[in-house]
Amino acid sequence: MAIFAVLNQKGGVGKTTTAVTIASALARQDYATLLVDLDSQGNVADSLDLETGDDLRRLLSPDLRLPLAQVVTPSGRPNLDVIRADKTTAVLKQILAGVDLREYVLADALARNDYDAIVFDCAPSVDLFHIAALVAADFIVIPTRLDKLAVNGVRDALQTLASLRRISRCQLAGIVPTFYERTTAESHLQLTHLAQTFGQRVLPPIPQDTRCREAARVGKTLWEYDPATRALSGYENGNGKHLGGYNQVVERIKELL
Amino acid sequence: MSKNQPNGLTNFGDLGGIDPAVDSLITQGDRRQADAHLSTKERRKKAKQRERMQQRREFRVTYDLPPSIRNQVAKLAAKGKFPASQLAAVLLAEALKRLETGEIDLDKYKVPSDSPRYEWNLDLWDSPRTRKR
Repeated sequence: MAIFAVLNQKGGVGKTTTAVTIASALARQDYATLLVDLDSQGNVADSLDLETGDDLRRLLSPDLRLPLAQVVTPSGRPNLDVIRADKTTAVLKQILAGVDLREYVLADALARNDYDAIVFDCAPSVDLFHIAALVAADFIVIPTRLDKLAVNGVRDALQTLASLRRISRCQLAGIVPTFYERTTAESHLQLTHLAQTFGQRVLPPIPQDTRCREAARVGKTLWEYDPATRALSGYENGNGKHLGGYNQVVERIKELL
Repeated sequence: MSKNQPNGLTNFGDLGGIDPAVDSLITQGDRRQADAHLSTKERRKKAKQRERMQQRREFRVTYDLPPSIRNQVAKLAAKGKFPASQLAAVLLAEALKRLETGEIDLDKYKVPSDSPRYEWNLDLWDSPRTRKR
């Protein structure tokens, strides 16, 4: 069993798409998977065509603290459960701000579970849940666009991780370059820069693909919406092999389970 | 939980190589960048060359051969004025046919192998193994 936090302090880098796609891929491959939305925007529920809900508040609110089994929402897909977030998440953060050992709320709430994998979709900010996710997680997955500012977000995320070293044993599972365009010089330059800096921890990049937005709009995972799409299968190499895409990222993630 | 798994990254001094998929995409990107400075005619020429190489790839293989055999093939090919690869292919095809009909017996070449991958070596008269002796 492993817990993955999909996290980057920069917004719009593909965190929710990455979290939903990895979680749904693991579920499709028979891993009992829980996807936890830690963002008050509640985008995970939208991405899976679920009603938004206050599962997270019911799990963590000091006056409720319901058992995990009572708050998870079945996604309607085999092996995939969800803890949804909504606007009450913002209130929950305020409530928890006065609680002792609040950094451990997620780790405590998930201490006993029957899942093979848990995936956190974190909000693009350094807030209480960001810290709690890093404390509870075994691995951090950092999606990043291939532009200078977003790549700086990788550095910031790793600095946050380093600052929590005393209370977190979370390790870097990988950096997932997203919105990769192989024909643009900037994408190439930033991918090269990332690979030179982080070596094998840079996972295969995800090609820019409008299918990602379309799938989220209709509440389907990429595997359901278009299993042959480029964001999943990557670029064809000319000799029948594919490079990049979530298929390869998921394979790398599975090595950590 | 897998808190003690060594698979993730904690030590930034130990980054290892580059993921093969990332490496391939970077190599392709480098090539694309280099090609961007070429004229359209030169780019087309390069693309054709790459295409030809791509097509030849499935026909290519590397085997270790004793130098005497390599030299013999090269001499025969030069004498006959045909490509050495095609001569090697014809000779190999003929030998394979003879192997199927039992005309060639591999057993007489067999010597036990020290390698965990193979049970036998096929020992030729001037293979590196024979020369060592």
